[in-house]
Amino acid sequence: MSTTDVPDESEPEAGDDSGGPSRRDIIKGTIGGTLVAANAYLFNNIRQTSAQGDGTPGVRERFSNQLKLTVNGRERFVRVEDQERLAETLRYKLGLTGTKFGCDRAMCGACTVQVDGDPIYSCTYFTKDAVGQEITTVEGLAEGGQLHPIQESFIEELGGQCAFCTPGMIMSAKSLLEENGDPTREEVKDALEGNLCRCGNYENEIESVLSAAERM
Amino acid sequence: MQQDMIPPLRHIDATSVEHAVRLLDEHGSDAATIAGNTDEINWLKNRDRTPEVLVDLKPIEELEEISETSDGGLRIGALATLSDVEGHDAVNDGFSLIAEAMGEIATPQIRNQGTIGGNLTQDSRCWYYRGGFDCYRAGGNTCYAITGESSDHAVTDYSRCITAHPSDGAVALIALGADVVVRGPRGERREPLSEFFVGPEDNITVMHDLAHDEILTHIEVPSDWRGEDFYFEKVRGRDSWDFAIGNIAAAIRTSGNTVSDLRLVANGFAPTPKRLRKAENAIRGNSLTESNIASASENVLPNARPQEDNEYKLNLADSLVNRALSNVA
Ligand SMILES: Cc1cc2nc3c(=O)[nH]c(=O)nc-3n(C[C@H](O)[C@H](O)[C@H](O)COP(=O)(O)OP(=O)(O)OC[C@H]3O[C@@H](n4cnc5c(N)ncnc54)[C@H](O)[C@@H]3O)c2cc1C
Ligand code: FES
Ligand code: FES
Repeated sequence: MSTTDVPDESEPEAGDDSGGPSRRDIIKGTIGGTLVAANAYLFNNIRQTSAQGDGTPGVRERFSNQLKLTVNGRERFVRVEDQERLAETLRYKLGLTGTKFGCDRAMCGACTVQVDGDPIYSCTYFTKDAVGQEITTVEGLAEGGQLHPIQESFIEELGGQCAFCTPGMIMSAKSLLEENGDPTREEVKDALEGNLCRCGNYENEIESVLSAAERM
Repeated sequence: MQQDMIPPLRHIDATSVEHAVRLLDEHGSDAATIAGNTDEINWLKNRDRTPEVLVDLKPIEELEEISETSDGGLRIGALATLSDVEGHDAVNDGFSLIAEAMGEIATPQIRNQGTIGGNLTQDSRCWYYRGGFDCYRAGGNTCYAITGESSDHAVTDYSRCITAHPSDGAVALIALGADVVVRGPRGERREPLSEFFVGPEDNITVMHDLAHDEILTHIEVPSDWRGEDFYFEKVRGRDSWDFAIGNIAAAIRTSGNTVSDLRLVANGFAPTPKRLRKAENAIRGNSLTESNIASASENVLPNARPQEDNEYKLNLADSLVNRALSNVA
């Protein structure tokens, strides 16, 4: 797979055309696909009756005990426990494993996602609290198989060593660049201060964000 | 790696303060209040607290507002996030001390989710207490920090438990003379924020005086110190994330080079935010010369009884006062 040829999150079942589906695609496809198929079968006719923007549950959610989440621009219906955290829902129920569990204690940033454009720790955030808001994960960045400029920069500037922290770093960087297209080095550091890198690759991460700002 | 699943519970959205109070009364000690849930969730993950019901204040819009009051003060809803407070025009216009403190708390992610009310009501950060030890604060009969590691702990005003107060927001708000507004089953009450905090001498198991069924609704900052000289500094192990080893917030009114009035408040030294009255009295009415500053910032914690591994905090407190005063001079 070339670096720019990533599976598009809007089609979780999509395989890898260069050499058959990867293990990751199959896992994602199975989790995502089963949910999508079951939803489509059961609820096609009452799609319009689901919750509107304000998060008040609609008929669909009340009958199915599901919540409607907006993830990477798509509506996802999912059954969620009251005590469930967004990182759990994303990884275990929606197959979006780009979001990592690092510490599970708001102490590392590997789980950073955007809720309505702001970065938060999804290990420390109840899924229920995201209803009615836009959730963006690292899978939501690529468009039509094209990586996002921040992702391109992280590849070119070697922003990832082991890369476990990279999805979270990228989400913090994205939040910064949406507010400030031309940040100083200091501003980049401030924006990344909630993301730890166990490899100590901070210089390259900062360079990646600065170079992404130039590309965007 | 995911470490813990939170045991099942019911998460109820409160629709008004009255609704929240009713729910807390109804479910008693089976219920807990949450706001941003950045602190409470860790107790749930550790299963040190296992409430059956969470009463969520977030849907109560009235509690999110930040506004200027008619007399030029500030009214901050307890549910305003730390980021919202930091970026708000009414805060930055005349009360930048608050914004500065907010910007030094934790990380952007926590500031986007955690609330200012929760910053004041957060629990002790003592690693023994948080780690599940059966210490005084947890209802036991020993303080493990005294016999163990106490480098982050209090050096003064403690009694048996030596936890230090962790809040950065509290010192800025107390320096500005803020009040808190609290609502409960018997209606509304108000008190100075400085009296809101409870030390171990009065009650060793709590950090503040809210009853189980009381909600902190607002923080009100009078116009008294609006636009005066401010200083905030936080000393910590890493430049990000860490709680203060020690911090200071100063509001200083001068005429010429003479200090006509000031308030110096520090955290990390005592179980509750500490007014540094000895230093205040030493410099009030005097000019900000190098020698006056030097003598005012000498031995600012006169009653301190440090442990061996946190004695360094006495010098730290002196230095913080020195830098706060020098910055204005
Ligand atoms: C990793 C980490 C680092 C941090 N670093 C710092 C730091 O450097 N400096 C600092 O000052 N703080 C720091 N904090 C603390 C942070 O400011 C608080 O966690 C946050 O402000 C709490 O707000 P919340 O809305 O999330 O509270 P919650 O977690 O929802 O609540 C905390 C507690 O307060 C009670 N509560 C909350 N709001 C109300 C209310 N309105 N009325 C009654 N009770 C209420 C809850 O019942 C609960 O017991 C840190 C926290 C974390 C997790
Ligand atoms: S996993 Fe959420 S901050 Fe580490
Ligand atoms: S690249 Fe390995 S943790 Fe950051």
